[in-house]
Amino acid sequence: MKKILLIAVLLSAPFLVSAHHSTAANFTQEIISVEGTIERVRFQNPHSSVLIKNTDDQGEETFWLIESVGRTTLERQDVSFDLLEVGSMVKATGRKGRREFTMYLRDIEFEDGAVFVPEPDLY
Amino acid sequence: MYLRALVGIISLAVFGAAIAQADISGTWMLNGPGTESNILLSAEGKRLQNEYELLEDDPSLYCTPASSSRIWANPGAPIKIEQTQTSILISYELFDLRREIPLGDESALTDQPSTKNLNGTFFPEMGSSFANYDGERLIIESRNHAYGYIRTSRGIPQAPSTTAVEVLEVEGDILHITHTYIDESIFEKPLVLEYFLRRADDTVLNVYDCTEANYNWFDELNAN
Repeated sequence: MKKILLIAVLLSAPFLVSAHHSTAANFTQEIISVEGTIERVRFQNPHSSVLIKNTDDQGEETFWLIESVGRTTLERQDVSFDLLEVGSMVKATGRKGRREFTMYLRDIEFEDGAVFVPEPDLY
Repeated sequence: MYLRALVGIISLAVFGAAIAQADISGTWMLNGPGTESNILLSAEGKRLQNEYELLEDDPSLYCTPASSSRIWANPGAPIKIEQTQTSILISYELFDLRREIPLGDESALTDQPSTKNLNGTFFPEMGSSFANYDGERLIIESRNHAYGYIRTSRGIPQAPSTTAVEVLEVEGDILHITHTYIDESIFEKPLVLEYFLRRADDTVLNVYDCTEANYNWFDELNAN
């Protein structure tokens, strides 16, 4: 069983509409969390993303692509991905993607308990 | 028949009006969701829609505008409109698009797409356009579209036979755009979309510098 925290959430409150046009179509409303090591950070258009490697109890590795809105939109809100360092252990939470092993980022929690929320008005 | 009637009505309105510059110059940002009429696809329209696979075929993944409606309706990306005596220049931050539309009648229409990015790549998905004024309204008519998607989330298609008419009108600090797609081969009746953009003249358009976002590299990671 993968060390993925699947937080079953059938939300009682509706989501706000994502800032990115196709997000509603590409991601479900189900909220999931994935723990792992940051392998790659992309701060770019049309989508920014963080690649996380999850390792389960049997040592099997799965890569998760955690997507967010594009660079120019984040920069306009004074948000950067500088805090997200390759090699950091994190827990990413967001909307499960329709494509396998993808997620739309809500927040990333670091080992020290700090939480990064790129789009605070989104959820 | 409705195509001819609609184009005729629009043409009369356009060419019967005095030339004037509407108050549409400036920078604009999408202001909330717009509206759309009922979408009634023909058999051919349904066929095109059924062939579309969102996770693979969305042109945005390849830094290509799916249609002009897709570009107007993108939240968080400013759009700058400039007017001269001879043309309209619309700069979309999304994909670094620059759309130059000649003012005039149908004779101003060329086979060349009206839109290119900063690298000089033309995008026929945005069509070839000409524009004119109807009082305070700017009316843009576009033809010669490449196949594309008016709504990428649901694969609502456009085709080379599609004519699009955009009516731009300022209401206070809101730019109201009515976008009508006419194509008897795809739609049982014209598709009418509305967008509302708020004035954002303090917002600067940044260089978008789009990077292709296909998922091949990611799929290969988990396949190994």
